[in-house]
Order: sequence, then C-alpha cells, then structure tokens
Amino acid sequence: MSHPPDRGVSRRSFLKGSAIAGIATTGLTAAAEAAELHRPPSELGPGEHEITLSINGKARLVKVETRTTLLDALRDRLDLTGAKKICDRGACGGCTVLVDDLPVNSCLMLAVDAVGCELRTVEGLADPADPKATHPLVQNFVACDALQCGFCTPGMVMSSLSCLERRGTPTEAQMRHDLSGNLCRCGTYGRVMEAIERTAKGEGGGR
Amino acid sequence: MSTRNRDTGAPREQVEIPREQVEITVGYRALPGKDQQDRLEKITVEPTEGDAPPWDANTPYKVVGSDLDRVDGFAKATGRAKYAYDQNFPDLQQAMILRAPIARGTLTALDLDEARRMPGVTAVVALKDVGNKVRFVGDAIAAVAAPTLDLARDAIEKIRADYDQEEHNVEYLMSGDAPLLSMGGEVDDEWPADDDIDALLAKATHSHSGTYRTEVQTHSSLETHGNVARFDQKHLDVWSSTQATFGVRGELARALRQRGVDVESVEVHSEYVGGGFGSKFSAGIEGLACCLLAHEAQKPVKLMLDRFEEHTTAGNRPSALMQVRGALDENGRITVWDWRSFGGCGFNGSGGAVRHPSAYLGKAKVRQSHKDIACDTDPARSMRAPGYPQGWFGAELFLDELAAKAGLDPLALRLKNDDEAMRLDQWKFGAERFGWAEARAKQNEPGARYLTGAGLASARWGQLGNHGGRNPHGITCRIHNDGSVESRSGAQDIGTGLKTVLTMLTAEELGIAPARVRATTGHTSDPSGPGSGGSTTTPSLAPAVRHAAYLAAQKLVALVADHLGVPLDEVRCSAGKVGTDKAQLSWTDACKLIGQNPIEAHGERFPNYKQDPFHRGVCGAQFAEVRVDSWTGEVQVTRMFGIQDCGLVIAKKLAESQVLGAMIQGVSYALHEQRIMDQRSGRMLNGDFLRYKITGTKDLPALDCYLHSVANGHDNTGAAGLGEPPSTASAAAIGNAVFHAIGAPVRHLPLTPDKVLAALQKAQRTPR
Amino acid sequence: MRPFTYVLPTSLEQAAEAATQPDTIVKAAGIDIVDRMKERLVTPQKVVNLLPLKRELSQIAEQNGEVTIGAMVTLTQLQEAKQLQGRAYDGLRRAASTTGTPQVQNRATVAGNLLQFTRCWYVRSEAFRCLHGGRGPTCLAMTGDNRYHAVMGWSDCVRVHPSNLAPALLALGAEYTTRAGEAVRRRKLADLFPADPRAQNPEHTLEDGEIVTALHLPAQPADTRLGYAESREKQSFDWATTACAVRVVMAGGKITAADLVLGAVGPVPMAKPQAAQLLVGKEPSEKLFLRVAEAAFAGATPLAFNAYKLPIGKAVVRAALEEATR
Repeated sequence: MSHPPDRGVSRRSFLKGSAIAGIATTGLTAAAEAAELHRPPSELGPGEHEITLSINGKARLVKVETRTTLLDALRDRLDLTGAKKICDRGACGGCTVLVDDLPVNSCLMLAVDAVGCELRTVEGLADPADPKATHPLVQNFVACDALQCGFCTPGMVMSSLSCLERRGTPTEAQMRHDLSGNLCRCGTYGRVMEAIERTAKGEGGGR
Repeated sequence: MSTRNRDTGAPREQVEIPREQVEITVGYRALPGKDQQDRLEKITVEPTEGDAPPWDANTPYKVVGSDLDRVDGFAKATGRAKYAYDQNFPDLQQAMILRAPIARGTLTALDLDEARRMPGVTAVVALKDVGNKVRFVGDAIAAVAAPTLDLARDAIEKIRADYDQEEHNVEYLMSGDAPLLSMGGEVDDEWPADDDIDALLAKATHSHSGTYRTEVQTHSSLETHGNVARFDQKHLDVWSSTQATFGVRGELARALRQRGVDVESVEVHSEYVGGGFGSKFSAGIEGLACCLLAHEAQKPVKLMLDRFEEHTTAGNRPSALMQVRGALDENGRITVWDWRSFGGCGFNGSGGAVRHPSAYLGKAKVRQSHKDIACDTDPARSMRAPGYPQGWFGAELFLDELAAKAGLDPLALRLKNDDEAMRLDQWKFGAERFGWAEARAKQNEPGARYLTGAGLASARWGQLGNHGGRNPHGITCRIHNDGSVESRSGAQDIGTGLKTVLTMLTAEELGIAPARVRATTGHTSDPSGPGSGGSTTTPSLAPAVRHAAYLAAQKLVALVADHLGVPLDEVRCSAGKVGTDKAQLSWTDACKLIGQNPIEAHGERFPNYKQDPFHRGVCGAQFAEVRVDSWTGEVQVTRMFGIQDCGLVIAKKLAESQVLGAMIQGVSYALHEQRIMDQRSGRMLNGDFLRYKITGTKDLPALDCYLHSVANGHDNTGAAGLGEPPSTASAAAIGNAVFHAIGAPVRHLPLTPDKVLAALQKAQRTPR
Repeated sequence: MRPFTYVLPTSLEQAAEAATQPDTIVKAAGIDIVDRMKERLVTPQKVVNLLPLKRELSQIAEQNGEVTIGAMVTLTQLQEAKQLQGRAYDGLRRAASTTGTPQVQNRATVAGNLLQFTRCWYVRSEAFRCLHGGRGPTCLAMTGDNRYHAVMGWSDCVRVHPSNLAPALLALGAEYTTRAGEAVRRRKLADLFPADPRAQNPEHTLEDGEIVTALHLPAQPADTRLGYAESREKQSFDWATTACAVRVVMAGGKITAADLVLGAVGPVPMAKPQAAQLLVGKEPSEKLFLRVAEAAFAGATPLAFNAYKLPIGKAVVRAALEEATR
C-alpha cells in the first residue's frame, strides 16, 4: 500500500472527515467502521491543522501541530492555564486532566490524540458567575487549606476528583496511591487528603 | 525613616520627638500539659509617634488567630489564579535560552544568523559575547523568541556556538581547597592545636568526634523562574515569578537603561507565585533575556525556564561537610564544641555557610570555622533557612551520638544544655504530646525486619521583621463608601499567605468582617515591601498593615464623630460599628459618609521597638519516628510532631500549613533529595523530577503540629514568619530517629537505602 | 519534538504496512516515545499512531485458562481485569501498580511498558554521546555515575531494563504475538529481549515495522502464586533499584515448580532458572529463601557505585518468595 502524499483535500476538511473519525471510533456506527477499514491511512502534519477537542462539555476548535502536546494546546492556544507545566515529563502531575474520566499527564499526550475524548480540566469545576455551581471538592480544598503557593493545586484537584469518582469513599491507602503522581513542593499532601475525606463525607456543600 | 508624611504630603518635622513609653505584656500562656506555666512579663516599649498602639498578650482578638480560609484559595483551587507562567496575550512569543554544554571555558564563536533567518523567529539576542567565560553547564549564551516553544527550540538548534573548553571540576570535595577525607568518610586533616580545647577534650567524661555531610538540594519551585515582558513604547510590564517584585523592578531598570527604561517605567506584576524558597530574588539572566527579546520583537514575550534549567541554573542549597568534636562533663553539660565546616558552592565560591545550634553551647568552649569551596557549577542561593538544615543535621546527630556514649537520653541532654527558656517548655510539651518516652522505650525484636526509632531536634531562626531601611515598607488602605476595604501591598505572596494576613489584620484593626476586605499584592505600583526572604515578609509588613488601617480608621472616625456630634476621642471602630458606647453607626452606614473618593491612608513600617526585647530568636522543637526496613535499608518516616513559636498567630490554618509543609520538605531533604553531577561532563544527571526525588503521598508521615503563639513585643503586631523556623529541625530529627532505629548513625544525607544498609551492616547486630 | 507526519491507520494491516516505511516509528500511548521525542533523541519523519486501533488491541480474554492480553491494555486495566484476580497474578498486578504514576498507568500500555527504552541518564539525555544507539564511542555509565545501573548480564553497555511487568510476565511463562506486514508470529516473551544485550542491540528484538499485538499467559496449575517485590528509594513514583518476580506452584506444603526473574539489575530482565530450581521439591523456609537469593545473585558483577544492589536485591528475592509462599 502506498501513501498518497496529497489527496486534494484541504487540511481542514480532511481533518474534519477521516482523521477525526479515525481516532474517534467510538462515535461511529458499525457500518461506518467497516467502511473505515478500507480507507487508506490518513496523515496529519507536519505543520498546523485545526482539530476539535471536547473540553468540559464544550467543543473547542484549536490549531495545533502534530507535535503539540495536549498541555500546550490547552495552555497556549485555548488559554486554559489551570493545568500547569512543571516537569513536562509526566513526573509531577501538575498537568493532570481527566481524559474519559481518567487522570492523565497532558504533557505526555499529543493534542491530536485527545480528539474524540471527553476532556475535563480544573476550570470545569467552578463557574465564577455561579458560586453555587462550585464543586464541593474545590470548597474543601479551600476549607482545608490544601494549597499554599497553589501551583500544584489544579493537578492535585483533578487527581483528587478522579479518586472520589472512582472510589466513592476512598481509604487512606487509596488516596495515597491516587495522589502519588502529584508533586507538591510546599507540602500540602495531608491537607489534600483531608479535603478528599470531607468531600466523600458530603461536606462542602455546592452541587 | 521617611522624611515625608505620606498622608498629607507635608514635610515631617526633623526634630527628635520624645517617644511615649508604653507598658505591654509579652510572653505566652502556659502550654497544655504537665509542669507548664504562664511565661508573661511586662516590658516597656517606645512606639514611634503616630503608630498604631501595640498589641500584646492581653489583646482580645476577634479575627486574628481564627481559622479563616486563605483568601485566594478559591482562585488557586479552580485554576483561575494567573501566575507569570499563565499570562497569555495576543501575539505572545515564546522564548528559550541556548545553554552552554561545557562547565568551564570561553565562548569562541557565536553565529545567530541562521536562527534569525528561520521563518517565524521574531527575536534573537546574544547573552554572551565571544571571548566571555563560560562558568558552568547551563550558562546562558543566547536566546530566541518565536510563536511557539517548539519553533523556538528549532531555532536554538540553528545557533552555532563554539567553545574553548578548559578542565573543570564539579565536585567540591575534589577541589584542591577541600579537606582530605579518609576511606571511611572522615576528615583526615589534623585539627589546629588549641590548648584549651585539647585540655577540655582530654579531661572530658565523654567525648566524641564525627564527620557529617549533606548534598546539594535544589529549590525545585514548581513554577520555574521566568517572566512575561511587554513593552509599550518605553513602558515595560513584566509578569514575574519572583519573591522580590521591587528587586526585580530595580534590577531590570538598571539593566535596560540603555533602552530608555527607568524605574518609573517598569511595572512588575506577581500576583501569584508558584514557590520560591529563596531562589527567586533576582530577575536573573532569563529575566533580562525576556525583556531584550520583547524589545527586539516589539511583541510580548514569555520566557520560562524548563525543569532542567531550573535545577541547573536557578540556585540551590549548597552541600556541606562538617567535622565536630565535643565533650560532656559528668553532669551532661557540653564543655567543648570544636566545629569546622565546608560549603560546596558554585563557581563564585560563596554562600555555603553552615550554622549550628548555639543555644546548647552556653557553657562550652566553642571554636568554629567555615570555608566555602568553589567548583564549576551553578552558584548556591539562599534556600529556606540557609545553612541551618545542613548544620542542624550534623550537630544534632553528633549530640545524639555523644548522648549515646554517655548513656543519656537525647531529650535529657537537650534539657541539660538548652539555654532557650521557651524551648525548655517546648521540649517538655512536645515530648509529652509525641510520646517520646514510649517511642524511645520500644524495643525492636531481635531479627525483626522492620526497626523503629525516634529522634528529636531543635528548631531556631534568628530574624523577625524590619522597617525597610531608607525606603520603609508601606501599605495602602482604602475605605470605600460601599463599606468595602482594600489593603494593598506591592510585595508578593509566594504561597505563605500574605493576602490573607493583609485581610485579617485590616479586619481586626477596623473591627469588621474579613469578607469586607480585599487584599491585593504583587504590583509594584503599590507601596513597596520586602523581598520574601528570611521569614521577614509577614513580620515586616504586618505592622504597616495595622498602621494603614489605623490611619484610615481615624479618618472615618472623624467623619462619624462629626456626623453624630460626639467627641472624636470617644469614637471607636469595633464589632462592625463605628461610634461611642452610646451613639453608633453600622459600618455600612458609617462608610456612606465617605464621598466619591475613598478614604486612603498610607501605613508605614516603623522601626522595631527594640532589638528582640523579649526573646532571642524563634524557637521550636520537632520529633520524628521512623521505620527502617533492615533488609533493604528503606526508611519510612511514620510520624512527626512539631511545636513552633509563631510570634502572633495571625492566620491559624495557613500557619499550620506552613509548619507542616516545612516538615514534609524536611522529610524530602532527609530521605531523597540530592543533585547528582556527572564529573566528566560537568552536567547534572538528575535534572528532572524523574531522578531528582521529592517526597510524595506514599512517603508522607502522619504529621501534627502545635502553633505556639507568643507575644514577642517586637513591634506593634509581633508576628513571626514561618518559612525558615520550622525548616531547621526536620531532617535532623529524622536522622536521629534512624540512628535510634538501627543503632548506628548515618552521617550523610540523604538517608538513601544504600547508606542505611551500609551503616546497618557495619553496626551488625549490636544490641542497643 | 521535531515536526513529524502522523499516520492514523484504520486497521492493523495498515499500521503494519505503514510501520515499514523508512524513518518511521510506531507509537501507542507514547509515554516513553513522546518523552524521548521531547529530548529530540528520536526524530522520526513519520509516527504511526496505534491509538485508532485501541479497541481492537485492548481486549483481555480467557480461554481454557490461557489469558490473552491485548497489547494496548493499559496498566490500570491490567490491574482491574477480572481474568487476572487470582493469586497466580498477584505479582503481575503489583508490578503494574508500582509502575510510574497513576496518571501514567492510565495511559501506558502493556506492550509499551515491555518495549520502553532504558532510563539510563546518559542514554536518555541529548547532551551525552554514548555507545548505546551508536551515538558515541563508549558506555558513559560504565565509568561514570552508575548507581542505578546493571549488576549482571552486561557487556559493553550497563543499562538496566526498566520494566516492572517484564519479570512478572516472564515468570508466568508469557508469550507474545506480533504482526509484521502480513506475517503473524507467536513467540516466548524471553525472545522479545536480546540474548546478547550489547549497546548496539536495542532493548527489544522487534524488527522494523513489527508490531506487538497481544500477550498470552498460559494456563497456570492449581495453587500457582506469583510473588513480586522491589526495592526503591522512594515509595511514590520511582523506578525500582531491584525487582524480583517469582512464580511457585504449591502442593502438599511443598513447592513443585518455580520460576524466578530479576528486574532492574541487567540490560534485560534476568531469568534465574538455577536459583528457581533450588525451590523445587522443598518446603518454604527462611533458610531456603536465603540460599535462593544468594544463587540469584551468584556471579553478579557490580560496578563502582552499585554494589549496594546486591544485598538489597537478595532481600527483595526473599521478600518476593515470602509473599508467594505465604
């Protein structure tokens, strides 16, 4: 099989068609998938192209290169700066976002690989216009003072959120495990676990 | 002292006004527990005229000391807090620095043309000239700006730089200046003769000697150093990740003078800072590069260091080598203390000083010396209690070894020798709360895999606040006619909670709910404040916060007195009301008397009352319990307890956070952290967070602390900063606990499994 | 990362075909590869992305006791798989749970974990020119700082294989299936690692364009237990300094069969059949475990800064044996 360098479609329409569908197989019907099998592989890049990411329930168009990480796409191109770039190598958890409900390092994920996934970032946990919509976990982070300089905090919040969602009422060992990929230099760990515990107990109000 | 009254603008009288003397009560109430008592005394202080009246041990606080939430907690926990790293502007350029790959030599060629010609590149600047020296791997050579970081990196690869390489050394102990070490790790050099010391050692009941070492720790602030710079004509806005906004402003103005920039035209913004720990006082070469690129590109530029650059070019806590000799008399008093230390610094050969706990040495003949040793690495910078954690580890472990020789409990040795009256109370209280006697009495089963042990160490810091010298720190307080209040400082909140402190002190002074106060920090357009170093920010600014609110209140009081027709001197702001005992307005109604322009007052930080009229330093004590896996040498700190003198506890929750955080950092320093250098290339091998290891949740001990609130009579507020004080003790207490657990001292931080196992094997089966 | 063309196949056939193109690499989650691309150690023209095939390649199925694990099963899925809950798989789940961080486990795939490159700090830095991969004349770790390097099995390159899963899978007698062009091959997992792990031999034996599609765990006899233990300098996110997986089959209080594989001590996972053989026919005892541990490290050749791995590694063998026979 050869790779036609160009099939005469503009980058943009090309991406909106096969490439996105190629990644997002979950959204396709069986018949469409069968048809996909016989398509030649699609190619992206190098250079910029536009993709659609689903972030906190909203579709966002963003221009990226194939080499653009999800973290850079969020921070530099969508101004979603909650996720932080701290080590840029998957070692600190500062860039943690939920991808299909699981916490991942957005610095180690290519933005194009996130097409078709449901992404949740820390920005989705509160609406400045509606304080009542604030997630109780956020309230408890504040109430427990589970933050100092605050730079690790968005990542910590997202790992904590996943811990709560997956485990309901996590044990201490489970919390320690689920947060073990998040570094904090100020030393807030104990209080982060308190915030999770309080949220599990239904404290913190909100939604 | 300022020569101008900031409120009226009128020249202040130059004549010395006799100060009013005020009697205040200092000290603290009895700690909970056995054999504790009130330690209160009356002293006379002389406040500067016009200052807010002093608070003391008898002040009834409403807001201060409460567990109010951190006022910017919500912004941080929702990701909405914008750090320097998070600033985005249309057309923002991303920048990167070309770093020298050699540790020592000369730049012999630099060709930027190809990088300049790359499509998209908007600016390229040289940071060294041909002929300049290269001093360490990572020394800055040139910088590039482009629309994305990937493109900037592509352009960096197009820069040609050649070097004339010289021989280098990145291990200070390999330097010609370094003392010789034996195979066993002991300093081999003879001690200089001293008749007194030699005699005391000779006649001592128990004497001991040892060599102790620590490794380089990097600050590892999670937000790396860096800036976003934007020029608008001659006006320069810089969003900086710094712990010294005013320092950065001055530094950049000086460096950019040739480009028509002066201090008035630079504005630094640091509303949120992702940690500093002593490394972020300067704009650095990266700050200058960012501004130069922004000037050349005529577009906003972001230049943040990456993690490797942060580890290798942004400072560190230097390594230390300490050699100690000492002895006890038959009463367990330390009679002689012979100490020499060596600091492993970077190329500039300074900053390696090591401190030791002098409070134990009141009756001892003391000799001490220190030598800094240079090598071809990034220079040391101050890091959270510079010189203390290193020295405390060596000294406190030495004392435990000496105590073991003398058959003394480590606590008993401290109680016999500690000159700090406050700490004697703290030792007793802490030992009780921690369960010291029980923890020490636990016997490890013979042949057991896991060995437990307990250790303790003192905490100390010598510094409180200051008034700022020729340019006193200030605070602006505004009261608006809707009842809202602003408290503003141009100093930065690096995570210690300055905004919350501003809020609480202002609310306390005005007798209103903290929710009415909005604190703003980190813009140099606001009154100047100190760099956040030496735990001085809170104690330096707190008195000015009070003073500003106090002056603003006086103006409001005047309006209310006039409105109600009551005597001015009977009107007070308290409990949400303004008025006298008989006639009052609610705060909201009182503020309605204010016109369109808010009341504005400038509070000043006056000089301290006297130098530490009540106590000599900030005291604390910490206790640690460890579990050592005797098979693998792995150490788990299982629990820690700390008691910490905080001066006046302002924001209780935040103060606890800071003390607990210092203890966690201490665990990390004790067990994990070390810079590992490749001697051949001069390059750091673990310049990341993969192999530079920092404590995480699975390594976290159960932690508890007690905030010891002390009225110290130092100024009108009496706060103490909490960055440094609790940081001194933790690693030392852990080191002592490991000694107790395995029966052999591990004299070299970090206490990694290889070293613990080696010590264990050496001490093999010695019953303790 | 340098710019690259991203190839998005819609079938395994396409992926296998595309993978044979010059200057092309295959990537799944990319935990290891994106990291090396960021260092600009890997600078391919084309990257074949396997993620579109995730559904096809991330099934776990059991048939007659044999468990087939799709190559793209994540480490998190591996820990939660109902087919892998018995004692025979305890050590496998443990090995997965101590790998990287939870965030990494949520994306990292089983095959990616086995195929990852060494974490040697000379190899993984663009600044160093070492023998590994032919970038320099000598192994820099051999004479440099080798505290985390090999203590056995090395010749001209002292890297260690970093996978936690590999020892556990090897001890279970795993096999793997690959696809290369039209060819489908199934081999013993041991064959995935070079028999002569020299500097110029990559961490694995896959040919260009060959893609791992599945792992197979053979049916285990009744009362099979897999023990796994490791030493590390830090409990939260660290690489093991030594690791050991040991499979024992118990009957009547005795060990009737055993396999023992060490991790993090050599350039490939190190199977220790002679040490394992000492267990067969014996009742578990401390004395026996100490003998086995000694045997597992017999003939070890530590470097200047890693002799500590020997006593620690022996303790880890003992701990894995205790866990398996408890």
